[in-house]
Amino acid sequence: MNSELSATSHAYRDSARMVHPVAWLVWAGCAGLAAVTTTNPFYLLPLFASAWIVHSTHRTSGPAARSFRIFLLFAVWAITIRTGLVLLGPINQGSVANALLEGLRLGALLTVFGTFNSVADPFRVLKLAPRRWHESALAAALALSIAPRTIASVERVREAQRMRGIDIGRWSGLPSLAVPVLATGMDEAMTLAESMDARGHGRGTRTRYRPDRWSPAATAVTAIAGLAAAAFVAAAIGGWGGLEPSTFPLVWPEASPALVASALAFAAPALVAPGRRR
Amino acid sequence: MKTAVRFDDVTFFYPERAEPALVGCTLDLPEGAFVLAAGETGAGKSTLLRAINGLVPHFSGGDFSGRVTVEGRDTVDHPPRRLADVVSFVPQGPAASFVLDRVEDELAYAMENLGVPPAAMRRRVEETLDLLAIEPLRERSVRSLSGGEQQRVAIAAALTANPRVLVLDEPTSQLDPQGAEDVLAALQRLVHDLGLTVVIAEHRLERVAGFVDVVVGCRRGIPPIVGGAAEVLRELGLGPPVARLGVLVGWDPPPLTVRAARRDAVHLQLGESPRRVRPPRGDDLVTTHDLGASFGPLNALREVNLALASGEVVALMGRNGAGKTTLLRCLAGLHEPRPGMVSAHGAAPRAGLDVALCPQDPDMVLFRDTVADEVRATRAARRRGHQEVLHRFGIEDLQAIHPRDLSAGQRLLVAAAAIVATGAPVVLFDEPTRGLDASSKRRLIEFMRSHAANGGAVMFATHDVELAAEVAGRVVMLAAGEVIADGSPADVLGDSPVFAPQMARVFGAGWLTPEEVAAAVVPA
Amino acid sequence: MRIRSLVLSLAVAAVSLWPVAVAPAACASEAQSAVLVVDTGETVLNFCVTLPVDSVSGIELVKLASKQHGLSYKLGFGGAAVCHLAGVGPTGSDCFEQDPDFWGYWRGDGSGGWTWGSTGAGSTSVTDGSVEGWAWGSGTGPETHPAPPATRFADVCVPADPGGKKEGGGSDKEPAAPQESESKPAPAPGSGSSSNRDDAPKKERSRDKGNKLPAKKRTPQSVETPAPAATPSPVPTSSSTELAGSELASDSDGGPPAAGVAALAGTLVLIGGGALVARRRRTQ
Repeated sequence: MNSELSATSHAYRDSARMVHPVAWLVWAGCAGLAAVTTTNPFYLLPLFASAWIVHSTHRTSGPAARSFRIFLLFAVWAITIRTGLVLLGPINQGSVANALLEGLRLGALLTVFGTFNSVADPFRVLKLAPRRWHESALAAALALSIAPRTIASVERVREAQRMRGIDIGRWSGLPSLAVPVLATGMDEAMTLAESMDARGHGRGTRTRYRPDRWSPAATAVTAIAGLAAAAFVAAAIGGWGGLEPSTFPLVWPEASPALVASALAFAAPALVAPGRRR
Repeated sequence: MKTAVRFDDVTFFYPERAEPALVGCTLDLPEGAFVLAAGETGAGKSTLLRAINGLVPHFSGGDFSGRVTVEGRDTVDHPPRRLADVVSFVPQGPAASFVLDRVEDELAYAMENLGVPPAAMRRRVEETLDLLAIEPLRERSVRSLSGGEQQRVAIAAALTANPRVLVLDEPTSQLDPQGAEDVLAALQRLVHDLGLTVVIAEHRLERVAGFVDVVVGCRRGIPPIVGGAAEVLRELGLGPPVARLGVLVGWDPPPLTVRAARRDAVHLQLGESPRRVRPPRGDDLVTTHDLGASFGPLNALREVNLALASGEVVALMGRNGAGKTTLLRCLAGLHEPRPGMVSAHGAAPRAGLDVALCPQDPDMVLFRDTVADEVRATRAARRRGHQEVLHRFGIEDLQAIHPRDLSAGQRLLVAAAAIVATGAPVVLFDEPTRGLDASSKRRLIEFMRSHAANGGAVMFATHDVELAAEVAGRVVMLAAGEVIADGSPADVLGDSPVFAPQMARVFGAGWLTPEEVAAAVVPA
Repeated sequence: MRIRSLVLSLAVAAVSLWPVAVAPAACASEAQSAVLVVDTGETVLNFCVTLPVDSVSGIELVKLASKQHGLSYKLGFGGAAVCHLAGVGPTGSDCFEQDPDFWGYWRGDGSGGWTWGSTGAGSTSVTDGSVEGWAWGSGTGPETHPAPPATRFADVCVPADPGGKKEGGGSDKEPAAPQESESKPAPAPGSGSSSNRDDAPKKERSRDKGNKLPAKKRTPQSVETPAPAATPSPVPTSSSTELAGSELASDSDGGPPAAGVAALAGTLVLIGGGALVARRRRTQ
């Protein structure tokens, strides 16, 4: 309960180390690009870990940050499903390994996205969106902010319905979970949208209160992410580095030190972690 | 006096609804007035409020006729964003309406949209932080704040736009008495010092009746009546306990504040304060032994020892964050006690069998198409039949209606019925006060009494002192996770400066309800 | 402070895991193999491919041949079909780009002949002793499309001998077939289905070669040799020391590459660091 936790003050970040939302966007884009180019676990696993440590050190205290776990679970689920589907067909090590790696890539993308969601306040990013994209950016920001709150309500609904003796596990129990969760989610979305409307959203020329400053930290994050992504792109174009290791036969994929270092470099933002409690 | 808000014969239907939400509404709210919208839930208070800033009809859709003028602007011609510089709106439960993460940013949001120059924005943020005494919170994340703090931040965020009219929908429903008082005091200051027009919707009339200038009494299906507090509330049959007492003993006009009641009561002679007969306490149905609970490093409960016995109706009170919800969850077997234990008949309580907990938000529970189906969905009800439960809450006539078409108070009753249908002897309610209007409150009270009389036990967490005074036989007070008081309402609430019910404030600790007082009046 | 400890742990992890990387791993000893015949129309390549498992698909056999012997290939249609082999064929994903020519899939019938592959090479099962063939040409079916020259398993793969490398066959075994390419005239369109066309001469030739043949070192990369050059193909051997390492030491020499170990170490460090930060945050 929020009120019960009010004793812990999650003081906001030290603004000197704050990373501009656009820098996060660039970081996420570059990390995502790197993930897309490869299924090599020697590159993907460090990418996962980089996203995780960036999330740990830079997460905001909003509900979006709590949803990182959801993205991680989603990633694991994607990997499992992807591998599991293969098991339905003719099984051999190579195809299973192949599916696992494909799933790993998808999982890495989800995790990077989850990190972006938790370190950059979606509405701050929204404010920077050019007018033309404003509507879609608004929809995305609304969805991103509502989703974690909705997900949080799943547990409470589940509890209440279980108490009534409703078996949530079966298909027939699904409406008892879905209807309240979705209805509450929609209500919250409506309330938020109402509030934005009532406070003049989309009214006309806007001013900025305290614009995010572009700090040296932001430059560092952008530069490192850009270089790391460039390495992967170069490897993809040049055909080196073992970006798509063969799973047949099942042997250790190659690992280019340059690409490994690049994958690890995506963890660099963790080094400019914001100060903690004041 | 200049008019801030004018309604000209406004009639409004929500989309695809046969019944109008507002009918022939005509009123004239002067500038600098503190206006209360009163009435049962579903009578149109929320709609009225939203019609002031244009959310009705621009956001809601529907069929709108008549005219609403705010500071000279017609709301039909001006969508909400075009009115944002003169009207600010604070919805119920502000946590859901926060857009940004940091308090300071949230305050600035409306100004950014309005294109206020940065220097002016900085100034207004500082001033508003001071006005509502939330300067220490400026860097905090809004999600980490307590309910009362969130409410003040929401008001502050509405104020920075420099509106002429401030509209708030049930701003104190989730606040403890002290928090509510702080917020209302802040609003009063705004009215007096800044000449703002404030319009609020509120059920707990005892909190506001004393200082409102104009009351709009909303009634379902007919035009609202507008006038001074005393006349409108009397007309609606609503009022704080002192007003109810006034009606019972024949004071005319009935007092609206404790102070006025004291004046009127000078000549009243009372007999003995009733020693409220406590029904015989049966067996313990659930007990806790040195119960502790924590969320990570936070201790939510500490060494709580209490027992709920058959036949009891217990009010659980305390400041926001004192641990009420956690205690209820531990009793229901939903939260792991650490250390200590909770036991029902020797074992850990089984949720839904020994103890049932009705959550604060009924919408968390409702998912079927009719009220009857909803109650039937509870497994135990299929065996036992659902009619009896419906009857206990007095909602049989709502059986065939879709729960979401009901008012908030009625939905709470349906959710409660669905939970009670489990047949658990101990029933817990977590703050059943949001949107609880007078008639739903009455039905809830009747259920609680009958359930206890039939051998069950009821515990409800609440901020509503009058509710506790009326129905509870016992009050448990929590502070910082510990039980600091456990006894009869007269003992626990009677002389508390914060929690005393109005009757106690007027007549002394032993008096809890107007009915009690009226019954003890010695005829002159 | 945190940076330093991160770097330090990374270094420690890398150093401690280094011996794992450089230790020669025990080689898996595989005695199973299959034959792959690739007939480009100008050259015929024969490969004896070691099978690491009991059964692989036709596509996987091609990949294995590439890994073990450097056959260049490119798959198309999302990896379901072979578009390009040994320098012949389209390199995009449309295997029919050079219509009407394409790589036809043939499966050895056990006695040196060929059966037209009725299903895609991605779903067939190649086991120990199988013979698979690919022939470049035009013709939509077995009656019209050229087939590779008749080849039997023993012509290409010396029967399995567990352990070490071997030369061409023991005295009591079939002589190892010569691994050579031959130039052929353009495939005759009207050749018979289970092509026995070149059967006789080839067999004879192989018998002529005699018993022992030195195992030739294979050339690295794609094999695009013109007519008479001998296409080397090693006899089945389970040791991989003969494989020219065109890639970094990542093949079946058993151990993970050094950089890979570093990657895993780094991953662990980052995860640990993140968990530490998370815990500290929670206790604040």
